[in-house]
Amino acid sequence: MDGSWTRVESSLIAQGTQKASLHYEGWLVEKSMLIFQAQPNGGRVNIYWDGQLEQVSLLSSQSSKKFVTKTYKIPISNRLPVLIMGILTIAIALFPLILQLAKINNLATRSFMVPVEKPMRWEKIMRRTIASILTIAVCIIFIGLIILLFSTKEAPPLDVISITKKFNYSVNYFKPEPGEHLIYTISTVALPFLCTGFYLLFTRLLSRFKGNIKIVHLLLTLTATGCVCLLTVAGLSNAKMYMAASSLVLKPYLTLAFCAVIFAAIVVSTKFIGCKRPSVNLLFDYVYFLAGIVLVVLLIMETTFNESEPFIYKGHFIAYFDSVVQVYLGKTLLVNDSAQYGLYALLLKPIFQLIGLSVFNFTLVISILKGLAFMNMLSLLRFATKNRWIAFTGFAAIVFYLRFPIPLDLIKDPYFQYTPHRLFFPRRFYFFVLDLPL
Amino acid sequence: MAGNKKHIFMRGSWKNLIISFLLSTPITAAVYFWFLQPANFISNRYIAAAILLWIVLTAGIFCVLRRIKQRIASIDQKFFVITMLLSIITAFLLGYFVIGIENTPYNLFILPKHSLVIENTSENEDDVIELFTYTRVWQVKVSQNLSWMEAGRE
Repeated sequence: MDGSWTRVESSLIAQGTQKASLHYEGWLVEKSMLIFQAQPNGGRVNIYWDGQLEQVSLLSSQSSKKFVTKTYKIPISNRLPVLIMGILTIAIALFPLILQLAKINNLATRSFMVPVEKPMRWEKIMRRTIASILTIAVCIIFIGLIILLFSTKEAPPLDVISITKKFNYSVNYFKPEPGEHLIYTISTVALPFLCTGFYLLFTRLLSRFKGNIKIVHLLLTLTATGCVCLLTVAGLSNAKMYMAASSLVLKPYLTLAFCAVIFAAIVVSTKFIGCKRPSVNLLFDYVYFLAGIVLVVLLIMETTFNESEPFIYKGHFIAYFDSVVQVYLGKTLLVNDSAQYGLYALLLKPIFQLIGLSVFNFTLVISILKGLAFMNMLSLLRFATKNRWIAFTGFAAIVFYLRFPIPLDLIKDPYFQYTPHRLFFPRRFYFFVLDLPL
Repeated sequence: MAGNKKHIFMRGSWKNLIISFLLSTPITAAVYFWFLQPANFISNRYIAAAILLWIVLTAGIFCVLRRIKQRIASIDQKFFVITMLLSIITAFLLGYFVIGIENTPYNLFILPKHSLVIENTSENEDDVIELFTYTRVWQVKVSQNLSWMEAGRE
């Protein structure tokens, strides 16, 4: 504090033209605020926030408080360790509670996991898991390499006239990406063969491996889990727009309530229903599966609509539907028409030649594909887990996260670019990789 | 049998002590950052309180572990791991989605320091500069409530 400041009760006062200044160095809160008294004889002050000048006049016809604020952006990375500490503390506090709850309800691990009686079978499963993880890693490296090789360095010129005729959006949204298109095509064509080939190769190699398979399995599983966690965090922090559409974020209390209900259902079903006759168990098995099918039907319903829906004139739907129409009318993709999302229109053309093309027929076909994709997911979870409630919970969580707001509002979904477009084939591939029925 | 396997808790008291330290560390850190840390200065008094809490917690957890070690040992190891995973998942859901990263307090220790200078530049002898202060040293008032701030603005 320099100069002629006078302390009066809870304020500092400087009068006239005398030199008076205050210097502070230290931490400042995220939203820092200075409060001055504005008055008819209020003077002027210069405020330097980290050297940045802000001139403030305290002249006012009436006496009032003048607030001068400055916001400092605190990076999320600064809060992350604090959040992790908080999460760990909550976990430590929850641990005895959950343990006690599980013990009271006499939940055994066999309720959750498929029992593995024979050590040989367990070892085989470990080898398969290692082969799967290594296959996924090699496929990711493959995609990375082709991205490096074929990414578009120089964008070709835009077909501005054609684009502005079709869409009301900025032409920048329609930049041709031939390199990316090539990457997509190569990946789609090559990945099934690569997956199968590398999986077989790694399985063979691992069958000759004489070392301690448990340690390799543990290390690889931990590494893969770490990578998935990192990717999830990166996805959560970079995909705010898509996250905003999810009820999981918008209605966290309802999400927790949903989790609590499902958890209670698991506990109750394991404790009480497990004791009943096999026929009752079988019935409940089908009840869970039927509940999953109901969700799939809801998904199909929200995808099927006709020309009366106003959003068919909007960008997402047009961008996906247009190439189907052009191909149906006789154009050929990559020759005299382009498609933003690939060559799916060529695959769908025979279907529409049989049933005719309209918005309703198109959305019906898409909804069937979407339903199949989700059915694959439901079946996968059902066959891979012993407890059907857990299978249903996993499936319900995926559906809930992807689509349904709460309270349930079956708004129509005109966005096919993710489901079924990007999810249909990967979900079919699960069955090849996991060697499951279907 | 997996159920009769010895836990880490049963393998000697010095390990109990390490586990007590490990368990009490995040709890103490969380208590400090969430409840004790002042908004814009590091208080030695609160740090001392946190260290005291750390010691007390470590001692407490150590005693509890010794008392319940037989009970812990009777728990199936797989069961133990699954419960641990469930706790972490539930805590993550609570922490990330209910509390949220935006509402998490920041770590003052790793924040950069700032400088603030206020200069009187009045041109008339009658002009007055009055800055409100709230502690014995002049201080920037902390306000997390932006709406109140906006309402108070001229």
